[in-house]
Amino acid sequence: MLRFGKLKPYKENRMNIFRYFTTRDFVHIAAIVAAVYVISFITKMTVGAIPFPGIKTLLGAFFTPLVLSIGLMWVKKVGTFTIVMLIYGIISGFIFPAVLFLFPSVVVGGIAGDITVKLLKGNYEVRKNVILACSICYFLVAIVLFYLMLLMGYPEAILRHEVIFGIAVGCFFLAMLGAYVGTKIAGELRKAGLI
Amino acid sequence: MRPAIYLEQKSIIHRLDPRTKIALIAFTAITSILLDSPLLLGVLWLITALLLLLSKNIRTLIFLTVMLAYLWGFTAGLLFLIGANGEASLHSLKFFFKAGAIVNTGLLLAFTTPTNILFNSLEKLKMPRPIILMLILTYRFIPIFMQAAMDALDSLRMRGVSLKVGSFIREPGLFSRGIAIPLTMSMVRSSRDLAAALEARAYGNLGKRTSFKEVKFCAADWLFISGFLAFLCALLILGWLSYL
Repeated sequence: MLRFGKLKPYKENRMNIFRYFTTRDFVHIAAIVAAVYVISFITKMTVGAIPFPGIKTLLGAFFTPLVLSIGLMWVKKVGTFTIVMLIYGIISGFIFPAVLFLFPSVVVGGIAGDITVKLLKGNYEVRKNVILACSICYFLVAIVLFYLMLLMGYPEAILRHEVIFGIAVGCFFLAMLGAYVGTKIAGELRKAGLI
Repeated sequence: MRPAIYLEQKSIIHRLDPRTKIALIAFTAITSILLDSPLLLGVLWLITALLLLLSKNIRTLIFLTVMLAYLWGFTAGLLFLIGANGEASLHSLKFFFKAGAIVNTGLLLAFTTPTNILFNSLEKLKMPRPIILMLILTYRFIPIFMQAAMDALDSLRMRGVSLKVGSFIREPGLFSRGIAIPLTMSMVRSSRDLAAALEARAYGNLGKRTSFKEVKFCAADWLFISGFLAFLCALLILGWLSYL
């Protein structure tokens, strides 16, 4: 007579540490980070020769949320923003070295984005949540980034508090615009059944 | 300008354990925060530049040095226009030395460490596996997406679209139509296929993982890290003495 061992119950394909996310989510997040990295690389390449403080941040605040918002509407889960920004920060440290400034600022921005959506009691399926999270994230990224630069000795005569606040507000509205366009594209992709 | 990804060379730095290079970045960052003298920060930048030279990345070093000089020159010019004194320009030099030293050590890790070895060592540093998985995949996806973006740019050029500096600023719609959408399509396709392949192989449900290449901390690593630490301590003591 055939005897079978005790059958183990079916376990979903989830990793130990982040039970909330599946392997599929991790792969999607990695793809989003890579796309965000490529977009920010192209943006920096386009305006690399203009060394005015804030130009790259302002441009990045429009173009990066364009792809980021599509990614957020794809994965949908709260917490995605933090992980995307965490991985982006680490990758930037490894291959586009700005770890000391970029890592803390993007991680703070990602956490703030997730907290915003959590406070709204929703997820990234709703367009307005994605737009608001991206705006708040980029506002904080600019604030933390420039204050870290000041902390590291960048002249205060150029980066005055009102300049930093102005750039941050600019980033807020540009990120809002970028995320608006991005969510529109995501809506079309959703209709097409791609995401 | 290109993203810094591993370049195969034979040098002392290439043979070091990635954990040594990660420690190098951390120590350099801490020291650059603690130091305040432009001269000592200049010495720190010089040493990190020499390490980059030792790893046979001369072109990168020249590019970074020129970029650093250009950025500082611009900042000093801006300070002069604002009406700040010469001391402010000297003070701003500190920022560029600090940033330059950290960038040099960061590139040292990126240029001299193969991806698989780097992530093996991160696993040894007890970094969570999902994070390592995402890092590996991102590292793998970047050249693919970069190629997709370059193809999209080439196709725009072939259609007669002018892609000069600032064309994306003047016409942001061009960016979303020309690059963001093709890139998103590439992102969705690649990651859907890969996710399906990983799930089909039950990735994540397995136990302990093994690796073909094991990373080991050897005598050369200890020697290098202790020598560099001794140098940083000397810099910090000199900085402290000059402060007194």
